[in-house]
Amino acid sequence: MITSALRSALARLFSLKRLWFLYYLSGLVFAAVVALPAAWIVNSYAGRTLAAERLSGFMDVTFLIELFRYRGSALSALFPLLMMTTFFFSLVMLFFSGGALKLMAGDHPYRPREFWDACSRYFGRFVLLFVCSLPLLALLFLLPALADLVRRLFWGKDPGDNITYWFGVIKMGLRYLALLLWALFFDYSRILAVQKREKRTHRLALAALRFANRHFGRLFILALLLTVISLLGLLVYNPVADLLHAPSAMTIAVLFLWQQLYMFFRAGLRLFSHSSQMKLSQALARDY
Amino acid sequence: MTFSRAACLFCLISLLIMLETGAGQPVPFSQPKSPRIANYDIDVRLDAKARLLHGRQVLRWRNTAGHAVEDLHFHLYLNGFRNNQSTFMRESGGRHRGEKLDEKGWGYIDIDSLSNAAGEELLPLTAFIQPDDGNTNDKTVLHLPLPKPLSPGETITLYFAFTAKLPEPPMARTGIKEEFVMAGQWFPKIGVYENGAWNCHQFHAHSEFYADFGVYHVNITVPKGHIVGATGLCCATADNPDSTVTHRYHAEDVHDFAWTASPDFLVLNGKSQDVEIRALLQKDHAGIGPRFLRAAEIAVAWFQDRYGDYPYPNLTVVDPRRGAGGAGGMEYPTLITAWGAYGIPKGFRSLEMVIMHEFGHNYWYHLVASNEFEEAWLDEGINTFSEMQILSDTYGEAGSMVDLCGIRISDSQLLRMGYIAEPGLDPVLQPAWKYYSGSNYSSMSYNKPGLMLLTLQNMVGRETMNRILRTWLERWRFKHPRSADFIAVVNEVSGENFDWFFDQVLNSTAVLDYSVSEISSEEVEQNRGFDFFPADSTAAVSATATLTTDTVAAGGLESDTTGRRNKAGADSGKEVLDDKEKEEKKLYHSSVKVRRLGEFIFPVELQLIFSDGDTLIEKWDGRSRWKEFSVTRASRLVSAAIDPKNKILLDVQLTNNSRTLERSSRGKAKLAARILFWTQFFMDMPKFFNLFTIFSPHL
Repeated sequence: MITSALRSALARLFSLKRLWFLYYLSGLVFAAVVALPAAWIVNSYAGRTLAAERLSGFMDVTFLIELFRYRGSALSALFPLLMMTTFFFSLVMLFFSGGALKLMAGDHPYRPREFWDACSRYFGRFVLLFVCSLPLLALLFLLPALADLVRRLFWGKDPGDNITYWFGVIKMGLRYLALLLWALFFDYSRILAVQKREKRTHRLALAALRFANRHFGRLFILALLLTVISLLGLLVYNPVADLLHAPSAMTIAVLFLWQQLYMFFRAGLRLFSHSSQMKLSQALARDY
Repeated sequence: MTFSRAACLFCLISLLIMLETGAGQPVPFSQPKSPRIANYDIDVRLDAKARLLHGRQVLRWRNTAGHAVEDLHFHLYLNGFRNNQSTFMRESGGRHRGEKLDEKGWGYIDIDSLSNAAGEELLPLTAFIQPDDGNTNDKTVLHLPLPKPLSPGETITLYFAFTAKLPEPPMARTGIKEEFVMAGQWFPKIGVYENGAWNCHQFHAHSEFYADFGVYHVNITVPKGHIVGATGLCCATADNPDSTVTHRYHAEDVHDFAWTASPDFLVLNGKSQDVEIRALLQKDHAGIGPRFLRAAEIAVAWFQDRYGDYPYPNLTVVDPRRGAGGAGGMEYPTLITAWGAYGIPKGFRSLEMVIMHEFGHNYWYHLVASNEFEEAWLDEGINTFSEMQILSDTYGEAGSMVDLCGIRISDSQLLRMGYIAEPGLDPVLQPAWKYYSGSNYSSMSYNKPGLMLLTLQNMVGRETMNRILRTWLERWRFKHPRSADFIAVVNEVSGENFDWFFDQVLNSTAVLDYSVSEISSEEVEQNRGFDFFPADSTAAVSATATLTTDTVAAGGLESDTTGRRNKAGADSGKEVLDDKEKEEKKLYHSSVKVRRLGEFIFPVELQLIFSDGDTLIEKWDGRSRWKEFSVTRASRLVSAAIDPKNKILLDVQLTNNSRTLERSSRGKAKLAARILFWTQFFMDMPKFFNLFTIFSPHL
């Protein structure tokens, strides 16, 4: 069931290339809002110097150190901008997800009107669902605290460095798990909102909890598979990016293309997640 | 003499020798290496539960001054932790290197009795004094007026009984945490009498120590099962009826004595050249034990090969317990404390750096015993320089400190980062407690002097620098040198006078910053009009071309610093130039303006690179606020750079040292692409950064 969901999801993704581009371009535009001023600050500091020329090769740590020393205030002023832009980007992705899920639920070609209608129709509901999901997120983030409790129970207040280290690794993993489980609930609550047209948020939240509980195994496996695909993408991207360090114009252009290809892949992966989750939930609903 | 009498005589002589030197006591040096002014015999018993040390001490102090001494001054460093009104506590705000005392973790040292060889009780004569800040709550300096002045050359013997409580957790290098004991500055320590007065400062938050050389016999009694490490050599251990063990230590020609004890140490042994190395590790750091040993082995070999003999036969490396970080990163004669953490990746060399740095102090401080109160840079700065060198030699310069996941950072880059944060607040040479802040103390004692010496090395060459430091060690080991002595050695060995350099670095807050502010390169217009030959006249062209050719042939260099003159006018023959030749014979007038942005004056090199690949080097004495250099030649100027090889590491901004005529779009495009990508990545996957919480396992 999972593999057939993935197959149909992939086919659906490729039939909605315009949506794919929309997702990618949104990410690019929002990132540019922060990156352009940052690049301007860096470039104005580098100026017409040999240090600027060296930037085309390996990262010059001496330059970085001086950049943060002499332009640190300007760069740190961008931090609130980065946070705000990330927040608004997340809102935009939430907005788009309504239209994306609506399109993924069907098999027809991309219809702009259908997409934008669904985006605006479901956005309010999704925001409420997000707010409803926060207590669950807070609860799940108690998992790392539980790990601390276990550590204290078995190793006392003064565990060895090795214990502290490995529990640090475990807590990091538990934080990822917490986010995964929360995303599971939040994603399926949105899917149910689109499928069932239920307007009451608390009912949707309960339905999502029941659904996730009933089909936890399959939903979790799908989520893990998507995580693995994400990691694989990074594993493919990184070594190639490392190779592209030569200072020639061609290499720099190829590096830029490779970076954007990777981000295009990530945009596609986001849509693929929506699509595969939608297909799986449809299959599960049919079976049930 | 009959055999029986001879045998008796032999036994008597042996007994006398044993009584004199202690049974089985090692004698590292056949001749004293130092003046042995302050000699200690100490018996100390550890009461681990109460964090107490019960001590009895015999101090033999010799008056080496040319006049009688009427009083004595002692350091009682542990009283810095007595309460929140001590000078140390006031200055530190109760925190030191990130450590804070537990609510019940105060420490102290009380002298229970003090008498002389005649049995006179001297304690009632004593008083606490505060020579640095007048803080009457500070009890870290004890004054004892002598009943009878001590004549020159005379030795006084004093008997102390004292009780010391070590702080918890270890703070400012000394203390206890659970079963781990690090006893530093734990006994009443006499100050240094020099230049007709006592040099005995209070214990400050940002100062270290200063003492005279001597011989130490120390008996350390600890609970059975505790493993002990200490300065010097262990002569013997003796089991006591009360389930304690007494460890007897002997150290010669040292000016400090520290020890550590724990039942939980894991012992690793190694050797480097002629030095036995013993690492006392925490059991949860067993996996990184080989790194401890290896770093110590490299350090011993490197220092001996480069600078000279490490005279002691052994070295102990102590790995402080978790929660006892305040004891880490410290040096004592033949014993150093390191810093280690489980899981620290191999490409992150803080562990090695600390060990190499602390061992280096066995040269710059424990052999060359400068005053850490008043001239902290003399040991910390020279040692920081050595640290940069040894890390660079061992791991390569680029990634000498960090070489992880493609990120490479050198030790010198990190030190420079610390320095340029606030370079002009304080002069280097001033008492350690008078800096603007703790971080400024570090920057002025470690970073700036280290970079100063690296810059000096770049001026005189590596071999000369090695000779300077070898001479420094040979001439001043077991003595108390000052900054002026170091400068004298530099001048003598290098054969040049560097007073101008040291004066600016050590005595002023002048900041060094040179920049290339403007650069231009324009085509020279041929002379035309009246008084010059018409442009279309063949004779005119050839004459002009002749002048031009001459100019090019002669190098055409105009410079107002080197005095080279345009050699136009030389007889080089006439020729008629066609259009192509005229094109090829274009001349460019290039101009570079350089500026001195800081107050520090330093002679610099200016490198000019031309489009035909040629390079010109100009020298500037760096005195004026700015200078213009101009050149006329057949190729365009492409770039100009001051200090092109980045030899002057004291320069607070290397980025402004150069200018190019053309914009470099490639570098900026690449950086912009990187910034854009990382921003996209962060926005798309903020949870990725959860990965970095691995560096803070307590989160």
